[in-house]
Amino acid sequence: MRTHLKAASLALLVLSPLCAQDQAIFVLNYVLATDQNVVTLPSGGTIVFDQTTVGSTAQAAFNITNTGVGPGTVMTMSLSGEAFRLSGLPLFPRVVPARESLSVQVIYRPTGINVDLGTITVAFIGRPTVSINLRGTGSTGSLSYRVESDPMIPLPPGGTAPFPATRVGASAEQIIRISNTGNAAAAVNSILVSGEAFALGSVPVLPATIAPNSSTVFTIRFLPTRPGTNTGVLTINSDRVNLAGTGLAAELTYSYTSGGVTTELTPGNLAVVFAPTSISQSSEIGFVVRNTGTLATTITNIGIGQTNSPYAVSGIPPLPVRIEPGAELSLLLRFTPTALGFVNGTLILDSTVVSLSGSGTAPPPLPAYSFTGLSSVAAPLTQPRIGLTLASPYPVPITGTLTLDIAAALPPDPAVQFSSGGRTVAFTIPANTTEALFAGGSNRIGLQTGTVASSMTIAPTFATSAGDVDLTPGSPAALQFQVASAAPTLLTVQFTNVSGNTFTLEVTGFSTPRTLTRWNLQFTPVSGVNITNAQFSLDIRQIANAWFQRASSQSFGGQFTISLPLVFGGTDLGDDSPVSKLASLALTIENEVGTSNSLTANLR
Amino acid sequence: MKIWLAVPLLWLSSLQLPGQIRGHVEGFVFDAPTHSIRPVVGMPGSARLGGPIVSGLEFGSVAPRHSHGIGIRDGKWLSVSRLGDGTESLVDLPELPRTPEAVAWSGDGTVAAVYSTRGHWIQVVTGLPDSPVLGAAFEEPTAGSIHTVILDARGQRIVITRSGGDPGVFDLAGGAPARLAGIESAAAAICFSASGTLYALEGGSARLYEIDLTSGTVRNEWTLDRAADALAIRVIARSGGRFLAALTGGERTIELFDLESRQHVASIPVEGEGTGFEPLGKGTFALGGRRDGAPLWVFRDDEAQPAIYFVPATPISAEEGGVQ
Repeated sequence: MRTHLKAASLALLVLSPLCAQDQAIFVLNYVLATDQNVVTLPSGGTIVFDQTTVGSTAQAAFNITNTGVGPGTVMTMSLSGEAFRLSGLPLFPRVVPARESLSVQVIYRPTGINVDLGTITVAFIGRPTVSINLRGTGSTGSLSYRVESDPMIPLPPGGTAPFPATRVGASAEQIIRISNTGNAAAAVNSILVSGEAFALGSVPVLPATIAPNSSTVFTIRFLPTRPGTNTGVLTINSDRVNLAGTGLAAELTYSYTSGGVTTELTPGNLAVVFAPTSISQSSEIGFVVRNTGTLATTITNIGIGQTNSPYAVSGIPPLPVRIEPGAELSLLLRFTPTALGFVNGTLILDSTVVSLSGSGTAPPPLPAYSFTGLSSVAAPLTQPRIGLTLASPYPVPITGTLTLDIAAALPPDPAVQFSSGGRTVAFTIPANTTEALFAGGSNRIGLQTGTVASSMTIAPTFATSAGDVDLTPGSPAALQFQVASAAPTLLTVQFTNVSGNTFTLEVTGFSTPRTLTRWNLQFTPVSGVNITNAQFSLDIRQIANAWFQRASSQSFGGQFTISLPLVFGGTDLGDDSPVSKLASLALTIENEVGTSNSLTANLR
Repeated sequence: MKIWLAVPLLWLSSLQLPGQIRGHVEGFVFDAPTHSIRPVVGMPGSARLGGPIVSGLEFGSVAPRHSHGIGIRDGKWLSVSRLGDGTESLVDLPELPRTPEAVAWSGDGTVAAVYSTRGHWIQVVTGLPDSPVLGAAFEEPTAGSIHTVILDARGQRIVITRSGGDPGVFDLAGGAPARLAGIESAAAAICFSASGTLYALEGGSARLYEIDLTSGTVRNEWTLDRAADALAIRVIARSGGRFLAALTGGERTIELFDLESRQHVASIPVEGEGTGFEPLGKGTFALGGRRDGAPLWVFRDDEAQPAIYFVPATPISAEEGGVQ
């Protein structure tokens, strides 16, 4: 505490009775506002103010009373001393009639915790000037703060109270001491802490009064909520002290860069958004995991959360991977859409789930394609192998089907099928290739043309293998071919029920118009034997129509097995049977279109 | 002097007009993927596996070129006859003690040898299809396993090949396996000719043995080039003589040899997975069973142009049901 003694002069009042003026007698006194006691001021006396709190004022009435019988005049009144001032001064000179007083207020405002001195100088007419000393003492309570650590840390207002580095989720505590270093009691009215990482611990009952040279303590707890510097403010009355502590933890932040723009992911919205990507194409995004915390951390598992996802992650280092504070891990995310529209996925990094979002747009159009292995006219009873070839490779795998349709006025032949069975067959076209592959990996599929005259169409459909996105052109080119209506074809001939004079001729063949009109038989006897009716024809239109119009015949298409029992007679054959004298026979069968191939069967 | 010579005269005295027309069924097969016996409808080249005639079979086998067979349904053996004529007949067979993996048939379809390659046993059933009787049974030592079983035309001779321990070709006529021709190769393909001659093709060496089973002697032997990895062989009778067809595993071909001249006469590429020659129709052979989604492959020994045909299996949903 500083105490300044300031020089002041005190004039002695001398009363003179020389004239009317001389009949005035001035008596000086003062009254402190605090006690209202009238205190006479002797010559050179001193107005002593009570100890006054710095910043406040004290007041005393300074009275000059004329106790004489005649008026007296106060010429001037002046004051020195910066802590004091006069209030209520009249205009001077001022006549003070007998029995009256001149009163002014002396106001004291301490300049500090010290002694303030001043002087009031009063000049009279016809009387000596009088000086009255002024004395006042400033007082205050003065609070100071410190952290009770070793060493202790003083905390001037605006200073910083440090806290030990503490793991996020744990807590640390500091004791703060409040000391009154003033000369008056000091009040602690409020202790407040702001900052999410800080909280008051034990606190004295407030308001609290601290006597000079006394102190009190309270505690502040540090509960860091995030790694790195956590700050707060301690406010005691109006004094502000900063609080600072380091939270210890790893903190992973995530960002991704797409199209040259880096997006930082916020904890509540861990989402990576890919730009719309064409099916058959891929989009890639650089994904960065950064440890912005104060401790190293480890990631044990990284991957896409869904199976068969269009999302993939690469660049994963051997796991587990340790990420030091300030270090980062770079990954590459790839989006390869297989279906139209939005598709979501997740990137999983241990327990952190980052949502992935993207949309697939239409794939490129299918290249032109062509069929191989079959022309516009197919022979009946054949098994051509057909293939399908794209004009140029397609970037993603394709699946498709070939569907065979039959247009005919005749019942369709159920034998018309792909070798795999049925009239549809699946195929695939691997990515970046051109040839359709059928079951077993063959680039050809067998097709049975059947034995019925008809027009057939093989139409393809195409779709992406992964997403089943239709790639079939609006008017897909189809393979069209026909099995023509033709004369019968005979395949086999055999004899059954052979005896001496009879046998049954059994012929198998097909007729694409599903009609037969006539047998033509030509017998050839062995040498030296004549035959009377070596050649004959037989109209079979009726039985053929009956057969081909029967529903059960449709299972066989245009195929037929026709059997004809024949009985022979003869003369001069000796011991030989008639049949033994036949060498061979040749036969043809006709329909409306023409005559079949000739089959010859040897009987010997 | 005039001499009159009687000239034999022949005439067609009658024909039962106007004849009959029907469809052609090449044969019948047990179709494992659909657990049914199905007809091969039509001529190879325009044939298909038709709707099931007998379905719900866990196992089955059709007598080659006949219209009867045997099968297992609900664990019980059945004799199935009159296939394809709309009056199929199912008769319980004598209880067979174990479940076989294959069946070998006699040429006339009256005898079947059901056997297990893994179980090392053979059980003969005779009297098929109408009067089935359990016949001889053979147990093989576990050291070896039965690889192939064949029967002659009437089921009187049973010959097996054995792999594993003590491999070779064995005749079971005496009730116990008797090694034939000194063949000790594990891989051997065997078949009977129509006349009962046994042919055995030794794997690796491609040595073909023509064996007279009556005497147990090797009548002829020679080497068949191109047939070292034959899976199966078959004697084929043609108007021009006898031929031997060998189904090879490596090149996937059927190699045809003239048994008289011993010359190689044709090589026919095989599609699909052929495992053997199973007589189907006249001059046609199924090259083993089919897998799901695949056709039945048929070899047709057309003298002018032997060829392989696929027989698509019409999806069952598109076909009629069959005898349950």
